Amino acid sequence: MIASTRANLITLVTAPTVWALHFLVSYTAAAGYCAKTMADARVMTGASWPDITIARLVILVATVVAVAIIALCTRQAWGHWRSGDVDPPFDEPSFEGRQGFLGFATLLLCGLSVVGVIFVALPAVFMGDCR
Amino acid sequence: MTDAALASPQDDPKIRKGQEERLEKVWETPKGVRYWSAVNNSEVGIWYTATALFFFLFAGVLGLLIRAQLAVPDNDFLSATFYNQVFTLHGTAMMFLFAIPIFEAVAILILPEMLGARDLPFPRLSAFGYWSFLLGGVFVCGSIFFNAAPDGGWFMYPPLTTDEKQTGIGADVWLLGLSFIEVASIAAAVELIVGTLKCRPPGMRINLMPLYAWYVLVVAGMILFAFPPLIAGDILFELERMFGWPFFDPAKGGDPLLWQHLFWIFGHPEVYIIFLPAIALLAMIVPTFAQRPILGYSWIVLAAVGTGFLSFGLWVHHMFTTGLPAISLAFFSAASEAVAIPTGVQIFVFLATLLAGRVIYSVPMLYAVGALAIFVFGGLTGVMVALAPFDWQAHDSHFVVAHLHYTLIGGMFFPLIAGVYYYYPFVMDRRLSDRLGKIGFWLMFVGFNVTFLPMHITGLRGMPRRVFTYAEGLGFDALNMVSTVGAFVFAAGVLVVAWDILRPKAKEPYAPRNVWNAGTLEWLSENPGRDWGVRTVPIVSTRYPLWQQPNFVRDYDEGRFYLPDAEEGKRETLITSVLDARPIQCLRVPGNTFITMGAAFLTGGAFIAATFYAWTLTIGFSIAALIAILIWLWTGTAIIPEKKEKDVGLGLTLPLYVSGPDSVGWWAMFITMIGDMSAFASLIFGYFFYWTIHATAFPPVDAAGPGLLWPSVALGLTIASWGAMLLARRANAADRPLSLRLWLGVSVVLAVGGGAALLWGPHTTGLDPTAHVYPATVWVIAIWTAVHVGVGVIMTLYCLARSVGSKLTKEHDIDIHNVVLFWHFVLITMAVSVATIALFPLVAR
Repeated sequence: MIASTRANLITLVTAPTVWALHFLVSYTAAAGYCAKTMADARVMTGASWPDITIARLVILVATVVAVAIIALCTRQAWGHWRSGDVDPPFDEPSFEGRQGFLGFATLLLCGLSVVGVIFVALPAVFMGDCR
Repeated sequence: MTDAALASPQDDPKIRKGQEERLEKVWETPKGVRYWSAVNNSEVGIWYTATALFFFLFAGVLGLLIRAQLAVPDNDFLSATFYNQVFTLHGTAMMFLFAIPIFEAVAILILPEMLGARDLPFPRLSAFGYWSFLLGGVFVCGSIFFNAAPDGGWFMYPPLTTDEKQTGIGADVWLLGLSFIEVASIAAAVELIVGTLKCRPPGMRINLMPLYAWYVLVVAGMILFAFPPLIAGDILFELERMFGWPFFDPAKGGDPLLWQHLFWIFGHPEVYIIFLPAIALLAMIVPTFAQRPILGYSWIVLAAVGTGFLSFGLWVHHMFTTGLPAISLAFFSAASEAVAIPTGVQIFVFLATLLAGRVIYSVPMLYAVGALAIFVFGGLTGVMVALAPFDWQAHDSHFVVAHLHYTLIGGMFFPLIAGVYYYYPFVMDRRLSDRLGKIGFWLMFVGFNVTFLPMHITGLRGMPRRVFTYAEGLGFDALNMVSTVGAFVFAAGVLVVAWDILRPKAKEPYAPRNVWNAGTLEWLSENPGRDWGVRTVPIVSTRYPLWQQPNFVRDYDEGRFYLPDAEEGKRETLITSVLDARPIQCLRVPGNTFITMGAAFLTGGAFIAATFYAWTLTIGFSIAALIAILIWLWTGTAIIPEKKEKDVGLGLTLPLYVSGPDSVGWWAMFITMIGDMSAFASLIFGYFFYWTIHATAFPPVDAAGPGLLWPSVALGLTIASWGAMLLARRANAADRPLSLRLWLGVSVVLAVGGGAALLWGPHTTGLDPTAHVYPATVWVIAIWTAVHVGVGVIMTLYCLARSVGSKLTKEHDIDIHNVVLFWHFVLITMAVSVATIALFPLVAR
C-alpha cells in the first residue's frame, strides 16, 4: 500500500505520518530521558542539569531516517504526478486525473512534512541539557 | 441524446410520476408524535443544528454575565463561586455543546446530498448520537440552575478538581456528562468517515470530491485520535474522584500533569476539529460567489491533511508554564509555528480564487471576509503565544482570552454564520433577510472587535483570566468597561441573526432552486424540499457538476441516473468504492424508529446515575441500555434482503447484501476500533508516563503484582479464544452451522476464562489501587482489557443467537466477519496489556 505504482490514501498520508512518528520519537527521547534523570528530585538543588547527548543522537538518527523516507515518498509522488499526461487542476474523471491529483497533493504534503521534521529537529541542535 | 437514452423508461412522464410517488412514500417524514422517531439525515441534521445553536445562545448569555461582572472594579453582581461556574460552563458549553457538535450537525445535514446520497450509511447511529447529545447537554447546562455546575475551568485541572471539598458534584457532571457526549461524537465521526469514503455518487473519484467532504474526512479522522485520550483521562479522573485511585495525587506517586497531557492531546487538535469544518464551509461558499472553481484544489487538500497531522504536535503549548524542560517546549513551539504554514495556505487559496473570479457581493461573502480578517489577527497572536518566552508573560492572562476568541470567532463562528446564510435556503427552502444579515454582521463585527481588541492590552497589563473581580486603579477599569459594552453590541448582532433565523416565514416566497447558482450536488434540491434527499443518484464526472456537466439538472429531474425508483418500498442508497467511486452495493438503510432514542436515554441514564453515585440505578440503566442496543442491532442491522441483487438502473445490477471488507458495517467496526485503540494507547501512555517520572519506584520495590503467571494464562486463553473465532468463521464459510455454534461456544468459555485470569493477577497478588499509582494503573489497564473481552463475549453470544435464529448463515455472514474483526483488536489489546503490566516490570527493575 505504501510503496505502490498507484497513488492511494495511504501514500497520501505517509509523509505526514513520518513527521508524526519523528515528532513522537524526538519528544519521547528528550522528555523521557530528562524526566527519568530528574525523577523524584524535581526541585532545583543547584546540581548541574543532566546532559542529553544520548537523546540528541536519537533525534539525529530519527531525523536522518525521517528525511530519507520522506525523500522516497517524494520520489514516488513525483512519479505518480508525472505518470499521466495531466495538468492542474487534475479534475479529469480518469485514472490519470486521480493519479495526478494524489501525486501532486502527496508532493505538497512531503514538502510540508520535511519542513515540519526540520523544525522539530532544530531544538536538539541548540539545546544540550535538561534545563 | 443517445439512442439508449431515447429508449429509457424515464421518457414516460407517467412512469416518472409513479417513481416519485413511491420515493416520497418511502422517505416520507413521519407526522405527529412519530416525527420524533425520524432517523433521516434531514430531520436529525436540523434538530442537531438547532440544539447546538440553542446551546450557543445559552453559553453566550453566560458570556454576557462574565462581562457584566467584569464591567466595573470590585463588582458584586456575581459571587466568586457562581462566577466560577459561569465561566466554566461558558467555555464547556461553547466547546463541547456548540463548536464540536455543530460540525457533526452540519455535516449530517448537508453531506449526503452533497454526495448525491439519500442518507448516510447508519442513519440510526446519527439519531442515537443526537439524542445522546441532547440529553448530555441539557444535563450539563441544567446543573447551573441547581448551583451544581462544574467550576474548575473548562479544562478541569487537578488537584483543584480532584479535591471534593473545593469542587462539588459539578466536576462529576462535567466528567460524566461530557464523556457521554464524546462517545456520541465518535459515533458521528465513524458515520461521516464511512459516508465520505463509501457513499459518493458513481464517478466521483477522489480527485472530484467536494472540498467540504475532504475536510469532513480529515476532521472525523482527527476525532478518532483526539477524543479517546480525553475519554481515557475522564476514566482516570472519575476513578480518582469516586474511589480514590491516586492517578493525579503526587503524595501517592501520581501526577496532575498527566491530566494536562491527556486533556490537551485532545484539546489542541480539538481547536482544529472546530476550525477546519468551518473553513470547509468557506471552501464551498468562496467558489460559488467567485463563480469559478476553486483555484488550488490540491493545495486545500494539503492544508486540510497537513493541519490535521500537525495539530497533534501542539498540545504542550498549553503547558509552557508547567516547568517542563526547555527542549520539550521547543519541539511544540516549533510544531506550533509550522502549523501556520498549512493554515495560511488555505487563506491564500481563498484569496486567489476571489481574485481570479468575479466576486458577487452577498451576505455569506460578507461574513466570509469578516471571518478571514478576524481569524488572521487571531492567527498572528497565535504565532506570538507559540513562542515559549512570550507565552510565559501572557499565560493565563486576558491576552490569551483575546487570542482564543479571535481564532474561534474568526475561524469558526463567522464562517458558520456565513454557512447559515448560504445553506439556509437549502435546508429551510426560503432565504434569510439580506438586510438583517448585514445589520447583524456589522453589529457582531464591530461588537466583537470592541470586546476583544482591548482585551489584549488588559492582558498585557497583567489582568489574569478567570478572576471574578479586580481592584480599582490597576489600569484595567476603562478597558474592561469597553469590552463589556462591546460584548453587548456583539450580543445584539447575535440576536438580530437569531431573529432572522427564527422569525416566521410562511408567507414569504420559496427561494428559487439553486439560489446562489452554485456548482455542487446539494443545490439540486428543490424548494419546497422533497423528503427523498436525491431524486436519483447521479453519475458525476466533474468537480462542479451543475456548472460543468451538460443537461445535468434535466437528466437528474427525469431520474435518468441510478436508483430512480423505490419499487420494493425500501430506503436505498448506493455504496461505491473508496478511490474511484465504482458502484458496489445497493444499501438498504433502516427507517424511522424510537429504539435509538430509547437506547440513548437509557445510556444517558447510566451516566447520570453514576454522577450521583447511585450504583444500583447505574447498573439497572446499563443493562436496560444494553438490551435496547441489542434489540436495535437484532431488528435493524444485517437485514437479509428478499432477493440477492437488484437492478439499480442504467443496466446495472448490484448486490443487496455484502459482508466483510466490502460492507459498510465492517468499515464502521474497523474505524471504531481505531478510536478504541487510541483510548487504550492513552492508558498505556499513562503507565509509561508514571515510569518516567519515578527514578526507581515504578513499579515500587515492594509491589508483588500482578505477577507473570495469571497475565500469561489470560493471554494464552485469549489467543485460544481468538483462534476459536477464526475456526467459527471458517465453519460458517463452509456452511456448517453446528460447527459454527460449537466454536462460538468454545470461544466464549475461553474468553471468560481469559478475562477473569487477567483480573485475578492483580487481585491475588494484593495490589491495592488506592494505595499508590502503580497498582491503580495496573488495575485500570487490566479492567479496560477485561471489559473488552466481556464485550467480545457478548458479541460472540449475539452471533450464536443469530445463527440459531437463522440470521447468520453462509450467505448472510456480516455479523461473524465484524465480530472476528473486533476479536483481532481484543487480542492486540490483551497482548499489549500483558506485555505492559507483566513483562515490562521484569526489565524495568
